[in-house]
Amino acid sequence: MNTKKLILSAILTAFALVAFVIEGAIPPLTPIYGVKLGLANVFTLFALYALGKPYGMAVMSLRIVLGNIFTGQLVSFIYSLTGGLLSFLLMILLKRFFPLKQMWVLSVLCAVTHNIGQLLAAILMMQTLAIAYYLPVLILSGIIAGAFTGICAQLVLIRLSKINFK
Amino acid sequence: MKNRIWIIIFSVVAILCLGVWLFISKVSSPSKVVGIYQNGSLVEKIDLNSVTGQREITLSGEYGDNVILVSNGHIEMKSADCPDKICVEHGELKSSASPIVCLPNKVVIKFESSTDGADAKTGAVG
Amino acid sequence: MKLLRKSCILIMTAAVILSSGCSFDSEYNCEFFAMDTVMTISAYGSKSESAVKAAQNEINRLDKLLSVQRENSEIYRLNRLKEMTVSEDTLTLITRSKEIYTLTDGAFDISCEPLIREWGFYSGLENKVPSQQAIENALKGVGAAHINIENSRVKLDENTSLDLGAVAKGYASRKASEILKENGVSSALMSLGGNVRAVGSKPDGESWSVAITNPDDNSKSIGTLKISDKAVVTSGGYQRYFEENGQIYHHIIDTKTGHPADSGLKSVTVVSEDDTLADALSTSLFVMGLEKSKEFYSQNSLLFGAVFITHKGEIFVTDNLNDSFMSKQDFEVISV
Repeated sequence: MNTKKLILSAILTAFALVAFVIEGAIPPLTPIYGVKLGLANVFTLFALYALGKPYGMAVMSLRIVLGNIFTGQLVSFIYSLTGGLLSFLLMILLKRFFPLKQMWVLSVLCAVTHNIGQLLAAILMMQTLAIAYYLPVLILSGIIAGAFTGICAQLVLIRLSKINFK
Repeated sequence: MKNRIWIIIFSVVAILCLGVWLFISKVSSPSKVVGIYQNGSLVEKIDLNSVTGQREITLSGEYGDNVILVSNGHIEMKSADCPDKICVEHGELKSSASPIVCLPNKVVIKFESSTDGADAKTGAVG
Repeated sequence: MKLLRKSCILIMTAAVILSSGCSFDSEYNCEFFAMDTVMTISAYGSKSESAVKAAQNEINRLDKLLSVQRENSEIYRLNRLKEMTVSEDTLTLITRSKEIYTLTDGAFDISCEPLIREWGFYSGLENKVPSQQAIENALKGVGAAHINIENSRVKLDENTSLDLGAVAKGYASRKASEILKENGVSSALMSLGGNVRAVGSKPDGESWSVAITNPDDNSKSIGTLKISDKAVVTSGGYQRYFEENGQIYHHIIDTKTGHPADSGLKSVTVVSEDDTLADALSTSLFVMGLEKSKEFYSQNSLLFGAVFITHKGEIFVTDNLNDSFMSKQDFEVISV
């Protein structure tokens, strides 16, 4: 643990929260849960690659907890947490296979896992398989959103690669 | 080079998903009997073709009320007190592939497969 | 600013047109939540809307009066004070309940509140199997003899508390159907959470058809009854129950044993012109079991008809319903 990294992850958490809140204020594109860009993940990815796994984990979980408190959507908390934890687990396990240049691939995989996790939680909570119909849409949206956020984070990191965050 | 492989993989998966989605939406042709579920249990079954006039169904959940509007051949979530209103944005229930879902109040509106044409149903209540 | 005002006017006009569009319709449907369940009333005729609203108000009023759980309901206060002067509705219902207690030889008992509490079937309580000691304690206050009525004053013994849950919906459906008729509705169908009440026949003169829920698959039905101007009420243990150590405990308590009724029946549907009786009898017959119910029917066949579903899945129908009951399954007819 060092102070520089601590401060950086705090700033990244704040950025992620702002992105989350702003995105929440934009009316959803489709009436389907989970179909969204997930801009906040740009900062999670950034923290993960620039600062390391524990910091990435901290940024993500703080963002989920605080974000749900800020927007008052405590219901969706359980869904986002399930999705978030599942995708982060994958992120940590697979990170070593994806160097900076393939970061966006990891981002896509995580976004898809995140959406599947959320759907599973919803199926369990609502005790209905009816919503499993959404699986293909959620995978599709995960691919698009994951690629977008991944590329964003990747571009930023490559530009900033001269700075040593550690 | 590696990037290109991934782009191909993801594109294939994406197209596959799109295909499956379109297929589901088409195959599940809209039978007109809908079921309204809350907390996983059936609240009511309605044959949309036999609805005359308009009626509103109000369900109360943890996050306030959901008002469902039913008229001939048509059902939609008219208003909801839940925080996100995604169910309201969904608009009319069109295919069994995309049920109307309100996560906060755990309400699902979807097409059912069959009915026996009775006017009412009697049963023990929970 | 101008644009805002214009769009406001537009929306308001649209709202007025839409809402007036509904009232031209001769059918009026209303769905609402009362007495812990979903209720629907569908009425036909030009006056249906105001009639349905009046009926809904009546049901809400009775809910506030008769609920055992609502604080400040009359029953809630009576259970605490043990002695008080009650309103006419409450008095009628308690008196009627005592009569049905005698009629059913104690199978129907509104003093079951302490037992239901012990088993945790009230919201906010945990479902649990009570100890034998606790059941015996609760049983001390159970029985119609512990309820004394003098003029409009009801006096309960120290350990006695009332729960009108097994008749309240029946009574409400009777009152609501009276109000519909008084307001000029001659054709309506009400479903108060599984308690069905037909007012008159369908607008085209045909009987209403009422499906009976299949206890094993609640989305299906086991048969239909053709009725007009009658109440149809079903009781069963398949909706409200809990499991402990692999044993299933449902919410219909036999006040003789203090345990959930174990009578070999899955569901009992009672048809009667008297809603309150239908409601009370569906519970009582469920507690009595098939054999006792047959005997009871042979003495009271003018009062009601019934459809029984046993644990083995057999269907028994009283002979006065033979013509109105239809099922794809075989069923046996009970004659007087």
